[in-house]
Amino acid sequence: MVYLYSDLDKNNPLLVIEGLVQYFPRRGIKRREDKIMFAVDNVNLSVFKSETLGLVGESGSGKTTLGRTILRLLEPKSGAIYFRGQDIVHLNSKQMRMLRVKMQMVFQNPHSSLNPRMTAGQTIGRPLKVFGRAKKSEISDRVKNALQMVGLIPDDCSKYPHEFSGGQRQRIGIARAIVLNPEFLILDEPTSALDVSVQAQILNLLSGLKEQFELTYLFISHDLGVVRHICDRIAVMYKGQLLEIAKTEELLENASHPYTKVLIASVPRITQKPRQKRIPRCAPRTIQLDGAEMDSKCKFYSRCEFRKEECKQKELHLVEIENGHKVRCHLYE
Amino acid sequence: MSEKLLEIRDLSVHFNTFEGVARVLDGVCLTLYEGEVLGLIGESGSGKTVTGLTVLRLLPISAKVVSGSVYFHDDNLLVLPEYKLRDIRGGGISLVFQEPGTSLNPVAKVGDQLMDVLKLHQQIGDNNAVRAKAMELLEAVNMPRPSLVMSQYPHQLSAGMQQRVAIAMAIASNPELLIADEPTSSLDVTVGKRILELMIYLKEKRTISSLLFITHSFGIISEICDRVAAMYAGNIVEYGDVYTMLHKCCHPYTKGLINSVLDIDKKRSELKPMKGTIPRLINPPSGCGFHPRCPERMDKCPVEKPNLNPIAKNHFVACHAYEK
Repeated sequence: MVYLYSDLDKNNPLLVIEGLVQYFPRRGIKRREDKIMFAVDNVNLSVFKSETLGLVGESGSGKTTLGRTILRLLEPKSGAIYFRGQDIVHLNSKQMRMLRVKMQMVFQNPHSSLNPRMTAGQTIGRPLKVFGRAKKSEISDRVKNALQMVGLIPDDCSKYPHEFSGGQRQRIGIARAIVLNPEFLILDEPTSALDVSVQAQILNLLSGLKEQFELTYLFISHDLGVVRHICDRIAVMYKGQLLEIAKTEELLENASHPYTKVLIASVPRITQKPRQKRIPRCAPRTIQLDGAEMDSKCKFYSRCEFRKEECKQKELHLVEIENGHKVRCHLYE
Repeated sequence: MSEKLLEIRDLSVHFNTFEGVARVLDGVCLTLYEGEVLGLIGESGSGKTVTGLTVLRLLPISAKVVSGSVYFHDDNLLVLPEYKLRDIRGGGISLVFQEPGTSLNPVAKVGDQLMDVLKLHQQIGDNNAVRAKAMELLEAVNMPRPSLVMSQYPHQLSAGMQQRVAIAMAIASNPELLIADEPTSSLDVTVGKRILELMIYLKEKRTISSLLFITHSFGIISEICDRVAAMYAGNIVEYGDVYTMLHKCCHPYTKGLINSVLDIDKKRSELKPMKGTIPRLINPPSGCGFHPRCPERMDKCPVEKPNLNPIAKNHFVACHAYEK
């Protein structure tokens, strides 16, 4: 069952983020060169029940940091996070731990996110033990059940990570996340380390699990091709800010922000006709960062095709240009 | 048709591992003509990279070439004495690797690394002339501010710029053949696109004459390649020009690869992933290596290994379903 944005319970989002800020100090060689780098810069976002929200952007845009901050694996510097209406920023660590049963994460690299000295069964059973969600006698049954749900066989539980292929390891990572019956999963580029054919398998697995357990996903990825196949809505992130957010079809057909257009144009496509010889008009250049984006209000200024002088000064906001389609750009103000 | 530049005949490479002998390449035949871009596609572990490395005899010590030959013009590279091969490495054939961060020397300045290549292959004595040539190369790959980059270390550059340096080094000696081993797959989509455009641009300008492009993405194949060879478990399973391969492919593996492409233009329902994963090469399946995963399997498949047969002009398939 595919949930459409219009069907979603707009008044009752599962997760609401308000003005979330996360920064890291970047030390210079001299004290006075110390800087602050904003990885998440005043982000407002809602994730509705049973939807898959895609978070796209290049590396370094703050996607992963946002995901980790939502789970409070990194403490937010300011802003609020509401999960099922409950403010979770001010929970103490014990309360937060109990809440993480409902919020789980699948990491990008299945080679480094599994403990090489633990068998698959131990890895998957660990959360049950840590959160005290199952009796000792039940654990092995729950683990075997979880293995079957992700398409592995129960006998695999005594194998070590190195005995599995990349795709199977990612399945173990997913099993570890769903064994607690969470409501909300943050998937941090779960397929980018995998082969094309395996990617498709994992995406189908994730869609299946979502239907079966009515899960809600925040799907972090840099690949619009992947996001298109799994997400209901897509948010585009650049240098810590959200630049555009819309339903998947709407975003791909009516991309409004210049950055979104660049992202979409960058995906290599299978051309439908015999290829004509394409001669690039001018030699492609790397972007020259002249520090202009540091002072300008629009972070995308130095790379933007449509930049104007006013982009530097005027304060920018996410503006709704159509039902549920929001853009942060002067062209639409 | 233009002349054959590189001809790989019946190449088999085995790796000795703790668990036994892995047959990584099992009779690969591949021909690359002058001036063309040949794509080599397959899942990881299908032997694409090993094919590229074998051409320049850069295989690790555990690998052994069991049979076959690699002809570059009239020389068999596999039996060529080491001192002659040194001229071909980087001179006649050069390589661009997947991870730009690991293929550059981290403790040498970009300029010095580039100048080393030039000094070795171009025999320019004058240091200033070499420096000028190096700057020219950086400009050729559209590096912003080349004079600054010359005195920088690789870690000061972004991944896209590192890959540009690697490409500059590879084209330094005007090689006749460039082997690009997934040059864009470790980069961001936007950066990868620009590197791809750069390679198309260099190809049009004839800075790169022939290209062997190793990749696992059909999207990239359709943008740059003239001909494509699909590889599975150490065998070439299908081979044809890019249009045929994308739209009229026959081998179930090629079809499976195309169906699992997460194309941005495709509808969500069209995603039909292939079942299973690549087999372990230590104990490969009998007969056709693809038969355990094949949706069109016949009785013959586990018994007999299919040969690469022509089914149309310049279109070869290794599958029992297409044998006459």
